[in-house]
Amino acid sequence: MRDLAVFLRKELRELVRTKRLLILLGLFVVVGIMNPAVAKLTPVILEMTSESMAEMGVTIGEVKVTSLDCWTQFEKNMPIALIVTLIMFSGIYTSEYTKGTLLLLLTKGLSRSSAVLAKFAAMLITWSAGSWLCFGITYFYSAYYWDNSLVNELFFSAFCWWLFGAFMLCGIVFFSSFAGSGAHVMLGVGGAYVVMTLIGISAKAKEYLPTHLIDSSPLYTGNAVPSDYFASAAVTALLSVGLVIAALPLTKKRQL
Amino acid sequence: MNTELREFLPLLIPLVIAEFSLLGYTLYHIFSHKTYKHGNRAIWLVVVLLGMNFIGPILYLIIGREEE
Repeated sequence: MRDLAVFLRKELRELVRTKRLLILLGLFVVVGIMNPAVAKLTPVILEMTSESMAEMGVTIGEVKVTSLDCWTQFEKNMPIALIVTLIMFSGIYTSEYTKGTLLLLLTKGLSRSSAVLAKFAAMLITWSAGSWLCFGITYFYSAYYWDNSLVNELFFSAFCWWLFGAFMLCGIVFFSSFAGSGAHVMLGVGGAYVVMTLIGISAKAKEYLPTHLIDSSPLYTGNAVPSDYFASAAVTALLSVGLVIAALPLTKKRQL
Repeated sequence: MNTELREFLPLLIPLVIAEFSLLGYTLYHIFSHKTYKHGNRAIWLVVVLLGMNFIGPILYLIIGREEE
C-alpha cells in the first residue's frame, strides 16, 4: 500500500511537471465550451449558406437549436478528447521500460505491481477529472442557453462515457505489459476497438459490447432507458478489471 | 448583429483566452527548444500558425514536443 502511494505521488508529479495534466485538462475545457458553441452557431452558419442553397433549390426553414443539439455535439466531440488522452498516455509504461528509469525504483524494493497500478490510477484520475469537467462545462452552458430537462439521462450517459474511457485506459495497461513502444500500445487499443465495432455489427452481440456504452443519442431522445445499457456496463467493468489483473503477472515476467 | 454578438460573448471570451494562451505557450516552447520529437522548427511554426484554432498547438504538444 505504501509502495502504491509512493508511485502515485511520483506519477502525479510527473504529469504536472511534464505539463501533460495541464494540456489534457485544457483540452477538456475547450471541448466542453465548443459543444454549446457549435450548437449555438449552427443557425448562423445555415443562414449564411441559405442564399447559395436557395439558388440550388434547397430552402432551409427556421432552425431552432435546443439542448439536444448541444448534447449531440458532446457525443460527437468526446471521442476526440478520449483519443487525445489515449495517445498522450500510450507511452506512459513503455517509455519508462525502454529508458530503464523504472529500474532505479524497482531495485530499491518497490514492487512492479504497485508501479503498474499507480500509473493506472494516475491515468484514471486524469480521465475522470477531465471527462467530468467537460461534462460540467457543457451542462452549465446548455442550462444557460437552453433547457437541459429536454434531454434524458444526461448523468447516466456521461457515466457511460467515463466507464468506456476507463476501459480503454485498462487496454493501455494490458497492452503495455508486452508491447515494445507507445505506438504498439496504440495499435493494440485501436485494433481492439475495431474488433469490437466489427462484432457490434450483429445487433444481438452489440448490447453486450463496451462500444454500446458510447451510443448515447437513444438515451438523450428517450428511445432507450438506462437498463438497456446495464449488460454492456457490466461486461465493460468485468473486462476492465480482468485486463488490469492480467497485466500484473505479464509485467512481472517482462524483461526490463 | 450587436445583440446577437453579445449573446455569444459568454462562449467566445473563454475560447479566445484559451486559444491565445495555448498559442503563446506553444510558440514559447518552440522557440525555447532546438530539437523536437519529429520535424523541425520551420515545420512546426507553419503548422502551429496555420492551425492556430487549437489544432496546430495540440498537434505540436502531442507529437512535436520533446520529453525533457
